Amino acid sequence: MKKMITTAILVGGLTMGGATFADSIEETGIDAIIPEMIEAEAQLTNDLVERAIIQDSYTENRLEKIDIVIGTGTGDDQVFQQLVEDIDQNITAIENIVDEAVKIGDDIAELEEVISEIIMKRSQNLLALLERDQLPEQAKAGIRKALANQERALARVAKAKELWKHVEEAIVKLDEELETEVLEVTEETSEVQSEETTNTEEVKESNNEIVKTNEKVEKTLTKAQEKIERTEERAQRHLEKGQTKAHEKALEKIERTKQQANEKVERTVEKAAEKDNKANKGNKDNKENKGNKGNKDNKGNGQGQGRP
Amino acid sequence: MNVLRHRAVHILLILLLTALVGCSKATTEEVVDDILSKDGNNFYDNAELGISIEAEADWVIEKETSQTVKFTRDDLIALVSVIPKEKTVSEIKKELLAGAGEVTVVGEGLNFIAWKTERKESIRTQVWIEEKSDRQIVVTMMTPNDSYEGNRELMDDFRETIKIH
Repeated sequence: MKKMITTAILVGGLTMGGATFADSIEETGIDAIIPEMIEAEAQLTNDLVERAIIQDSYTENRLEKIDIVIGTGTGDDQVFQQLVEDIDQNITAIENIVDEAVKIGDDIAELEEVISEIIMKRSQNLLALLERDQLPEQAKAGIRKALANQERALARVAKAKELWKHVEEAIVKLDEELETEVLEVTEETSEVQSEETTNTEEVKESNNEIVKTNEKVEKTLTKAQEKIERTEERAQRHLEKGQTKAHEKALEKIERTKQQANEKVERTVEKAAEKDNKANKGNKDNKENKGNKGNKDNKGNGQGQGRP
Repeated sequence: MNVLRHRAVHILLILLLTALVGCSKATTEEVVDDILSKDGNNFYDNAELGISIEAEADWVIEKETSQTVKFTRDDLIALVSVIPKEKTVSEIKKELLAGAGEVTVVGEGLNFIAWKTERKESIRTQVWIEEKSDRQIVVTMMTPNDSYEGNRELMDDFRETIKIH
């Protein structure tokens, strides 16, 4: 009889064993739905800082679960190992957020701050878990691995921030450089222009001067153009280090600044051309006047010169 | 003689149990066949969980675990979970709500609860719980609160096509 029961238990146990085993690895019921909900919430959240915070509530949930399992003494090695693995995987999820921020070219400063805080807090939680006697050695090995991965994640976000800082600095520097170029060009052009004006006022035969002036303006502009292009090349080289969207964004900005610079230069050229035309006209008039009335005009011009 | 009879009983018992296990497997297979032959063109069939969904093909099956299937469509996420009947509906509602963090309940019925998260980008979650004799089916629909009105019809359509066997 005893043997019969043993056989029954044995056979029964064998058939049921599979199911029992499977249950102990995976959570069932509500406990398993909550992490799915957290994951979905993170997925639906566009703001990366917010997403990181939501993603971290998943780790929070897993840590609470570990506490409950320790408290109730219901956990075996596999349950703990799974929970620790969940935490470890969540570190990867947070790293992915950093990668996405880099890819999009988002300002990483705030994200870096939030993620650093998260990782610091979680490191403390994990270190505290290592002190718990109730936790099996296997799970502790998993925790040590998770701690190492957290450090990796921290380094990653710091690197992303560094890269962003470089790009930002490069943009600021370029902006300044381009601004200086444009200023120089404008100054040189107006210098040439003022020489021209003086000449007109002095009523000299200045057609040659005008040609010279135009050449000078032309030269200055070409030089400026070259300078701008060189600056851009340098920027490209500098920014190529980070093959990211941030890099693309920076180049776009440079392109915009370059356009602005060109427009400014063009406007200056137009102004110069206008003045040239006026000067030409003035010279022509002067010539005619000279021929007709002579001294009178010279007097007039002399008076004009005397004015401040 | 006695020993022999015992042994015979042993063998009989083993055979019986094996047959029983075999039978239960066969029944499952028959059910699967049945479902497949009846609604062969369902969008989603899961005989193990006992659900089938006729939803439009625009939905994507993103993930399957032993009790939850996750579907997505643009900014809509649906979780269909089949759980063993261990808790009452109101207990389930309470626990899910507690797990959702900082939220405001925006609707509640006998077998239904809805909340939105208190965040910059608020996410709206709606949960329906259907009771069967041995299990409960929890359908969770999530979408950004701003998209809720626009997605309402899609959510209702999807939920209505979920068939529980």
